[in-house]
Amino acid sequence: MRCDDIERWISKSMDNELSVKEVGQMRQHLEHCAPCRQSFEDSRDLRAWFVPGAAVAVPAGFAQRVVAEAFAGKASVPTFTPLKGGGASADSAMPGVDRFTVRLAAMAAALLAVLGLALYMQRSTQSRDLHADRNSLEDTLKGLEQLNQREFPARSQETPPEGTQR
Amino acid sequence: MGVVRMQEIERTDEQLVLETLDGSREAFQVLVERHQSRLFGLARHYLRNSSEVEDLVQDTFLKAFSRLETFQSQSSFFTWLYRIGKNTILDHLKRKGRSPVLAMEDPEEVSGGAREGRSGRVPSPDSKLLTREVVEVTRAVLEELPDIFRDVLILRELEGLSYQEISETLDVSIGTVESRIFRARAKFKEKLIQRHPEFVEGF
Repeated sequence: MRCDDIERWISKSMDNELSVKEVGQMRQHLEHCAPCRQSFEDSRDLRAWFVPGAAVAVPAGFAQRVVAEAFAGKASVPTFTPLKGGGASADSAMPGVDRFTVRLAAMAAALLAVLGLALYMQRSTQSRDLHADRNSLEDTLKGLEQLNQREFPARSQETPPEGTQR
Repeated sequence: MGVVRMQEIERTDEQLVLETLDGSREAFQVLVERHQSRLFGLARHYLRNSSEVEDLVQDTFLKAFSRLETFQSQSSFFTWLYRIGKNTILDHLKRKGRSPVLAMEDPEEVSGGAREGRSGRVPSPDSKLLTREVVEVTRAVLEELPDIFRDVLILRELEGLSYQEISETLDVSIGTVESRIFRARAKFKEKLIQRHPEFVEGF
């Protein structure tokens, strides 16, 4: 192998990105190539300069502020597009129609249905009430007639037909 | 309480993204809390002012929120977020006058030069140097590097991302990542020697 190739492998080996086979080949090369061996040691030493600094403290309440800001700007509320392979639901698969619009339409339809049902039931009740009133009136008239016949049978029999006695 | 915590652990970033798209504030808050620390760390590598760091990390999350529908689940949410964060930071730096990346400095367009870093041996940091001093020297050298080299070194050496994750974050091939890291290390060594010749062994 060429030394230039090995130098790239050295860099990869620092990051554990070499295969076992490549590590073996690199080791073989390093055994008999002093400049590359030096390069390997340099790379190792150089890495010691990259020291992760102290962890940065996240200000208290940062996440809450971000969420409040994100949801306050309704204009930028994301619209739903199915994720690739994300198992999107059927209603979200409608191209060009966002989930919010679909939900709004569904809610409006449900509200209309409820209102329609309520109206129908109200009318139905009124209609039943009217029928009840009519039945009640008929019953009352019949009842009155029967009462008349029971209470004043004599009168009705005494009363001669109009114009017979005169 | 324990059950809730278990559910919290089990929810993946992808699930939280879907829940956020369904309007869940709580899911988005979990996403922010899960990744805020690393984004603060990333921004801190580029910026010194802590209020700038906070503003840019907040900008990053808000941009991510407004573009959440564009997130493709074939890459991890974390690398997607990192990409937005890195671009937000670099845009900010460019607006503030940091020179843009020069095409001629792209490793794919430069031949050779791999051995240029062999002009002197750079030992590991002197044990007499405090960790804080090492961090400052490294930071100053990184600031002198072209963006493409600085980015891969920050992501690899300081953030510990794998080649695959760097490839997703920078939207380049793994071969390009390998090449850039290799060249970036040589450049870093070269700049370190230029800036601090006292660190060169045998100086």
